[in-house]
Amino acid sequence: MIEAVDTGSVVLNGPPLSPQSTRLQFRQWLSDARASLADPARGADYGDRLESVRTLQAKLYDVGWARIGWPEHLGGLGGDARHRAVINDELTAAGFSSRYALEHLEILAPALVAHWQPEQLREVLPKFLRGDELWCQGFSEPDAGSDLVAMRTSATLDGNEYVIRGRKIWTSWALYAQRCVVLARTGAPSERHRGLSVFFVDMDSAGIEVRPLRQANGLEELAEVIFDDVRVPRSGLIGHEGGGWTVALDVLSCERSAFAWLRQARLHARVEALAQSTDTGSAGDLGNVLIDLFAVRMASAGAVNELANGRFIGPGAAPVKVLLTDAEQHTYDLAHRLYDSDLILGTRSHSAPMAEWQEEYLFSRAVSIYGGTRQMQLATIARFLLELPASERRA
Amino acid sequence: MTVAPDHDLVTAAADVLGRMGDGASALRALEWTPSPGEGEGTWLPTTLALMRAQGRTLTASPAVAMTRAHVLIPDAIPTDLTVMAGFEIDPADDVVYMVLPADIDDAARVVVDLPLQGLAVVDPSSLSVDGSGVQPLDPAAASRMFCRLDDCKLLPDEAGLTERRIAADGIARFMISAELLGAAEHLMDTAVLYARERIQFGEPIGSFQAVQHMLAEAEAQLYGLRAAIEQLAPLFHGLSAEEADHYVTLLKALAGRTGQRVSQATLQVLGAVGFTWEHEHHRYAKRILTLDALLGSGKSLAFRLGCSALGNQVPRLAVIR
Repeated sequence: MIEAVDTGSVVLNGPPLSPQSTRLQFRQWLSDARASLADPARGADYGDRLESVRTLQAKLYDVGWARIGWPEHLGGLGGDARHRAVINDELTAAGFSSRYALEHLEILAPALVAHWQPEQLREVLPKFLRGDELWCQGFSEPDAGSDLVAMRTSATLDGNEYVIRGRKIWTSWALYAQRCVVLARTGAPSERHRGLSVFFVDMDSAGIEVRPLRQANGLEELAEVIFDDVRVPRSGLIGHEGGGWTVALDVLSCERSAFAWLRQARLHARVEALAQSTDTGSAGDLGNVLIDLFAVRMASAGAVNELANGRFIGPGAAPVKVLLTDAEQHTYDLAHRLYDSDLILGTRSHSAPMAEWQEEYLFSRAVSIYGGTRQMQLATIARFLLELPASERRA
Repeated sequence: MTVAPDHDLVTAAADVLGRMGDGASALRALEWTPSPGEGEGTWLPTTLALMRAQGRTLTASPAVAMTRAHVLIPDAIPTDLTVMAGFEIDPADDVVYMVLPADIDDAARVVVDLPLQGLAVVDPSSLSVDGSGVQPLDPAAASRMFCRLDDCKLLPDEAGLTERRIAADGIARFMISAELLGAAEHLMDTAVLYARERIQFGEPIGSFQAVQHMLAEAEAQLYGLRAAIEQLAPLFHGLSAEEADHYVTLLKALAGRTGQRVSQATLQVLGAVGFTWEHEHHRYAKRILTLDALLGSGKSLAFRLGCSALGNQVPRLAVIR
């Protein structure tokens, strides 16, 4: 049994707690320790924000909470995706904001647990769990967005090393990350998805150049990453050569479902804030957002439960992402309607909270783009869930 | 895609409902009991599967009305009698107008419930079907009737009745949500089948992105409703009365909203043929509208949910345990 001892360490004594007990114990710990935990910085400097997220994560790791939900042989304290889900839920309920790059713990890490050799993962996962290192995801390319399989970044075996050459784009947190999970072509382009492999690459390797991209909301979260003959040891191959598409699909499954759990947790807190400034005139809109949130919470909970049993829901993640998109965009649509010109011009308040609403409002416009556009989610549902025919004209 | 654990149960119930034609007889054939009883057990998943099957097959049964009666007055109803309880719709001085979510002909007794005033168990012969004005869109799912208060002999509200009313509304909302899911699922199956077979411009219309995306948007909503029902069911009995009321209100609002979206998207894909009297679409669409209207439509419940959230915490269901 895991026991939380004051604000000290979590000690192991027998089998892990149930997710519900974990939730209650973590809630208690958080309430006791709240004063000693700094609120994540929300200032203009993105690097500072990441730094404060890492500081909080290090504290959670040292006490034990950030290790719960990961297998013991990988440096965790046991438990599964459900334990991580309830801890994330409680963090947002206590007012902590987005965890930024640590979201890859729910996007990239589960696929690596499923596909990479444990002895390799054990070396790097604890550093990520503690926030000492950050990871990023090198999938999209300038000419391969929705049509990901058209990607051209290549990996060629040379002796005991792969040599990666190509260019990735829209790579979140690449500027701040120490590692990158890279999808590269090890076969001929004609092999399409069968010729892909996934690599775990050190960002300080020779030949890597990161060019930050300033987003429409002003943040430099995204970047372009150039790989100029970057050498990666064979042990950095995740899964087997030519098996990269399977790994990529599991990553995408999490990016569209387990990630939705993280977002809905944060959105509950944001809608709660909106409910403090809404009047009955907007009650119907507020109610509809609550219904959106309920749908995505229940759907993403199903995905988390599947993940806890070692299953990635694959195409089933597409409707979850659509539900998340609705919930998130409708939340910020409501904020826009409520705060009106204040949100856009700062007519009434010059406060930091309104600046946060403004930034988040802008970011919410892109939920229907990142992690696979809404068009692609709909195409996935049509093809794999509804089994509608492909167009003969396109084929 | 994962197969829902109650998949077989829904198919079996749909089979019996389809064969029997008459809902009350089907309930007896399935050995369904109207009383949720105490604690967890298999009653709720079985009943939800039954309601989902009822939605898919567009059959009608007095299940919701019977369960309402049993939750309202658990000790006063013999299990061998078909006793139903409806919803009061129009408080008047001496006449009670109510909607019964069933066919009155099946009833042996009807509970007339007037919050704050009391309730009575009456013979259906003392009720009159209200044939005036607008009629329920789907008469099999809702019949409107009235009775004179003088004929009712109301027993005054007793302790605990208010709580039982909330519980009765809650379980009825859960059951109706499952029926809405079933009806919407059937419309989706029908439209998908049609989109695969209907040829225009030399191709099945289901190969066109405009059609695919319309159906996929609706399917995403349906996925959310299905998940909500499946995740909420095993937790329901463990919730406090207040929690149960809140989450089942969210569920019913989601179900009503989803049903209408699926109804509109599938009609659009079916095109003009879907708007004919012969096509089944309008019968499902009317069932969906009727179920949405019972015990609070998606719109009115959204307003209610919004009002009760004002200035308060947004509750989070501990769905992961």
